[in-house]
Amino acid sequence: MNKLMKPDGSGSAASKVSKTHLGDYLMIAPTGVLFIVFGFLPILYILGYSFTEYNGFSDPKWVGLLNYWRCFQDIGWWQTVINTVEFGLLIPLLQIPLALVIAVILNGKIRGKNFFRVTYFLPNITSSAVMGIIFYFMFATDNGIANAILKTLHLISANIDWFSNEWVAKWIIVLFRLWFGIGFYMVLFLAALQRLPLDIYESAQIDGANTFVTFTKITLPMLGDLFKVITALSILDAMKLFDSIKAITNGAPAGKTEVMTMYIYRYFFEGGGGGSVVAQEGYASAVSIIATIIVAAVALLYMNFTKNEADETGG
Amino acid sequence: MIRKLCRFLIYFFLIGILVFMLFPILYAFFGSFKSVEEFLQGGAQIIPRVWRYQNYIEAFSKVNFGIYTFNSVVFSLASVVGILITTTMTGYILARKVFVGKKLMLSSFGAALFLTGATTLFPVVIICKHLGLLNSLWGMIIVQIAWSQPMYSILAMGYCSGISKSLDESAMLDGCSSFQIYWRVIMPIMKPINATIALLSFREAWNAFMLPLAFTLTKPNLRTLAVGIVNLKDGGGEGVSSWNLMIAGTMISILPMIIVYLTMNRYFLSGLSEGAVKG
Repeated sequence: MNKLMKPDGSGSAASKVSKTHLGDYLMIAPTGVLFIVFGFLPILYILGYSFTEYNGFSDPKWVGLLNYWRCFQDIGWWQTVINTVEFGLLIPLLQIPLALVIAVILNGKIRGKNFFRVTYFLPNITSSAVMGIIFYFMFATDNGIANAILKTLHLISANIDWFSNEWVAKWIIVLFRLWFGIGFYMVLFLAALQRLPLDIYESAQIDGANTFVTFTKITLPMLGDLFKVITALSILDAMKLFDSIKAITNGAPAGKTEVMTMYIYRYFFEGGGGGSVVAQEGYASAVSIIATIIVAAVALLYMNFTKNEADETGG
Repeated sequence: MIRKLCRFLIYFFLIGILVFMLFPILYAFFGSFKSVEEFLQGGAQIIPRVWRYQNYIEAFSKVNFGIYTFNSVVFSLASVVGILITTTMTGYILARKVFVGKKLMLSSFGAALFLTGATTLFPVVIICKHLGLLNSLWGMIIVQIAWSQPMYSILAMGYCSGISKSLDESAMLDGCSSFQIYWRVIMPIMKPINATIALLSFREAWNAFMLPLAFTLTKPNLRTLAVGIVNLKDGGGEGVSSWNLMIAGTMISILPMIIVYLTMNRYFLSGLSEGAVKG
C-alpha cells in the first residue's frame, strides 16, 4: 500500500511535507538530548574511568590498562562470564521452542485460545524482582511449598536445600525465566505467524501434509528472519539478567549463580564485597566495557552463524 | 481416534502450562493472607486456614509501604507522560522527514540493545548528581524516560508510517507547521499506539528495579515498591519475622498491574506484536 502511494505522492506538496524545518529539529530535540546525555555520554565516562583508579570521591588516578589486566586475571569475573553464557544458552534453548510450539497451537483452531494467550502473558506484566522473591519463597528450605508438596507426595523425607547446590539454583532461575518469558515470546511468534500467507497451508493440506510436516517444511522456513530476530532478543535478554537473579539467589551459593551485570553492579555500587567498602569505579568501568563487548560478540556471532546456515539451506 | 488423542494431549499440555503460569501468582495471593506462623510452618496447603487481612494494614503501618507505593505511582506516571510526549514527536518526525543525523539516530537506537543497564548506571548517577537531580524522584524519572526512547520512538515511527501522507499534505496547504500537524492531525489518529506505549512503559516503570535501586541506596524515602520489597528480603530489618508483610507487599505491587492488564489486555498484546513486526 505504502509503496504504491509513494510514486503518486512525490508531487510538490509531498516534497514540502518532507522538507525539514527548524521546528522539526525542535521536535526531536528532547529525544536527542536525553539520548546523548543519558545514553551516549555515560559510555564516554566509563571509557575514561576505565583507565583510572577512582573511588567516586577523590580524583581519578591514571593507571593505564591496569584495570583491564586485573579483570583478565580475576577468576571470579570469568566465573560470572561462564554463568552469563550458560544462562544465555539454556534459557533461549528452552524458551524459544516452547514459546513457538505454544504459538503454533494457539494460532490454530483451539477453544478458549484468547483466554490461554492472555493468561500465558500474565507473568510478563509482573515485576521480575518481586516475583523472583516469590520463587525464592516457594523453594525455601524449611517452609517453602516445593518441599512441602514433595513431602506430601512422599517423594522426599528430608527437606531439600535447593539453593545450596549450584546447578539446582541455576535451574530454579531458568524455571523462573521460562515462567516469566514464554508468554512474551509467544506473542512475538504469534505476530510472526499471522503474517504468513494462508494459501500455502491450504495447498499443503490438499497435498495431505500432516501437522508435523507442515510445521517443519513450511512454518519454520517461512518464519526465517523473524525467528532469528526473536531468538537473538531472547539471548540478549538472558545475558542481561539482573533483577531475577538478584531477587532469587543474590549470587548464592557463594557467587556461583552471579552474572556479569551483578558483578559490575557490585563493583560500581557496593565496593566489590570482600570487606572492601570503597567503590572501585575504574575497575568496574573496565569490566563494563569488556562485558559489553562480550554481549555484542555473542549476539553478532549468533546472527552470523544463523546467516550462513540459512544461506546454505537456501542453496 | 488418533486425532482425538492428539486433541486431548494438546489441551492437556495447554492446561499444564496454564497451571504453571498461574501457580506462583495464586501462591503469592493466598500467601499474603496467611499469618507469619502459618507461612513459616510451610505445608502444602495454599489456601490460608485463617484469613489474616491485617498483613496489608501492617505493611502500610510498619514497613513504609505507603511511601513506597506513593513513589512507585509518581515515578511510573511521570515516566509515562514524559515518554509519550517525547517518543511520539520523534516517531512522527522519523516517519515523515529526512534530517541530518537520522541514520545515526536509528543505528544508535539499535546499538543501545547491546548495553546492559548495569554498565552505564554509575556515570548516569554521577551526571544526575551534577545536574542536582539526586534528591528527588526527578533523577530516576528523567533517566527512565531517556532509556525508553529507542524502543518507543521506533514503535511510534512504525505506526506513523502507516498513516497516509495525504492528511499531512492538506494540513500543510492550510498553513499548518509540523508541530501543528503532529498535534492536531496525527495525534488523534495515534490513539491506539499511544495507549500501547502508555501501558507498556507504565509496566516497565512500575516494575523497574536496578535504576531505582541504585538511585536510592542511601535514600530509603525515595524507594519504590520493588526496591523496598527486595531490600526487606536481603535482611533489611526483621528478616524472617516479616515474611508475611513482604508477601503482602508483593501483592500490593503486582495487583494494580494485573488489574490494568486484565482490563486492557488487547492493547498489550496487539501493541507488542505490531512493534515486533515493524521493528
